[in-house]
Amino acid sequence: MKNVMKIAGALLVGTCAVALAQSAAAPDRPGAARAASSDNPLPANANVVGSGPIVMPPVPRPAGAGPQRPRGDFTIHSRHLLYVTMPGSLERQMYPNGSGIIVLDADNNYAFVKRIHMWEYAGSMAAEDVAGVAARPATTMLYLAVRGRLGALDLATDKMVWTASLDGKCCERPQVSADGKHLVVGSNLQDYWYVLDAKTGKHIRTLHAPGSPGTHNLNLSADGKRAFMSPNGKLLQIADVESGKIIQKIQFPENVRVQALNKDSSKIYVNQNNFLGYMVADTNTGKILQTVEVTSVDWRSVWNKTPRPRVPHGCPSHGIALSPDGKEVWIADAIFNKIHIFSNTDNPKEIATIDTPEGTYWIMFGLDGKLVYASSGDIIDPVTRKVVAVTKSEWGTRMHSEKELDMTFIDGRLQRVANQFGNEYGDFVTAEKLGVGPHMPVMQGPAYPIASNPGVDPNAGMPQSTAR
Amino acid sequence: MTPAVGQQAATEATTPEAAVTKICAACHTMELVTDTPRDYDAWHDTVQKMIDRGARGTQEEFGLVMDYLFLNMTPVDVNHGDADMLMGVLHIDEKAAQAIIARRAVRPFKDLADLEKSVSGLDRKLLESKKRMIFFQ
Repeated sequence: MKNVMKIAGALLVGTCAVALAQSAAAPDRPGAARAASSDNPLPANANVVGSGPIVMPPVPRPAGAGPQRPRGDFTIHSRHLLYVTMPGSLERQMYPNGSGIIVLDADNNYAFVKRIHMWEYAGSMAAEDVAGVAARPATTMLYLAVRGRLGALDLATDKMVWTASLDGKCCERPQVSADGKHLVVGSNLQDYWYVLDAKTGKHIRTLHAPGSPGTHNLNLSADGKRAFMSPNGKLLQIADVESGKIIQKIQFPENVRVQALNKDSSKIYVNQNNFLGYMVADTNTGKILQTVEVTSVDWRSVWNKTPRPRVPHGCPSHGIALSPDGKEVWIADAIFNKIHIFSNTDNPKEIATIDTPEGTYWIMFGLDGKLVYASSGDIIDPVTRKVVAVTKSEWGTRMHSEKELDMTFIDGRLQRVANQFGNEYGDFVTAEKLGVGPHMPVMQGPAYPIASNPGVDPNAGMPQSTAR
Repeated sequence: MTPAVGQQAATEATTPEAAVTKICAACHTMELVTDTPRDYDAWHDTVQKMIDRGARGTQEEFGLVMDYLFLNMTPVDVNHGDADMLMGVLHIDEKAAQAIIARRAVRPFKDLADLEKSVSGLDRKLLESKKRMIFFQ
């Protein structure tokens, strides 16, 4: 019975369609029809053939309209986001922006998107200082280091994948190799750096650097093979990540602060204590090549007096970045609250100065060098040297952070991420183009949640350090 | 099976048919596509709507989907369409498209029979199967 009704229905539809076709089609051509009227609901130019659906003709294009839209010009669900970690400035612990990661929409004037709480803190407790942040498309994870632990966040779900405290002396700034195999992160002010599996968080080996106490910053060459380990001290050591061996040492006259690498990591640019400027060293020979001082301001007369002015991080310059074309060196000025820009040549000259009244203590170039992120919250156009936006929390308050990541996503899958350090080789896409980084396929399709067991410590039971 | 982290979600489609099967047929029947011919811009809007509603693929794959829709499900007005449109929808070469343009400049085509009679190199069987998408305005 049901089938009979179906057939009858189909016949009815067919009959109707034929009737419509007959009424629609003019005798001279199949597409022509009489003007629409109450007894003929079809548009005059509709094509009706047999029992098929009605097809409307293409919309006439105006003369000289040019070609139609290019094939494939679609808005894929991509997002360009800035992840700002809090409290992300050691000098601003009381700054009223709370804790967690604040996600801003770079495509929408850095509008607030959400706040991610990596760890919950009791109202009565202060959040741990954020020491560093990194992320990798190869794992779709973000790594947040704080004084006491390291957490891996699944960027598809914003849930914790694993968290590690290692030997109890973790952690400083992390860096991850492009293939996601190695995560290198400093201990908290000791003299060693850990190498972990970036996916699982499992401890692989320790890079010991005796003679360099006060573990601080850490950088990786674009190929992920060399670790540039700088303490808050004078001896920077370079280790082979795979073997764990120290392959070079560079002695600086003052404590090394922030560092940045050139394209092939053959040169390292560093801030120094008690110096407004930067030094450049050859990472192959260990020799210092250049000492570049800011002379556009009389910083020595301000700095070399008693009592010495108190500035964040205790040094005149804490922040250095190379432009992605390698032509400029940007450094922070904590005395006069400026950014000084130098030509990166054999005879560097200061070519521009930017005022950042809120104080800059870290500088990071965004993806493709299109914007510069200063820890003052200022977002700067590197071409015009103008501040074009400010990072603000959900409460509209300016956020200071020295640990930010500029990232792009498609359907939750991390595509690219700028380095927290101002390295000339940029992100892995740029590094590959420059011929210094490995090829990593761009990940396709939506991200798949990987945070299945949040909060697990992959190194539980690791012997606790008895070092200071 | 859920792909492991870092792997591609699925093999990327490399032909128009494969792209339509992978992306469009993943959510609905193909009749929804084949029953509703529409012009290129309308298809573009439709595909964007599908992306907004969750269709997943790369730019290249969506380009292949548009290729399929252009070649198979786009109506053409023989008396007004440009050479690219005539070639794509009628599956003809440039010479035949130029012959159509030259002839219609003198006298617009009246119907399918007129087209078939006046221009050589047309695939009559194909034209018959696509006749609901062929207009003479």
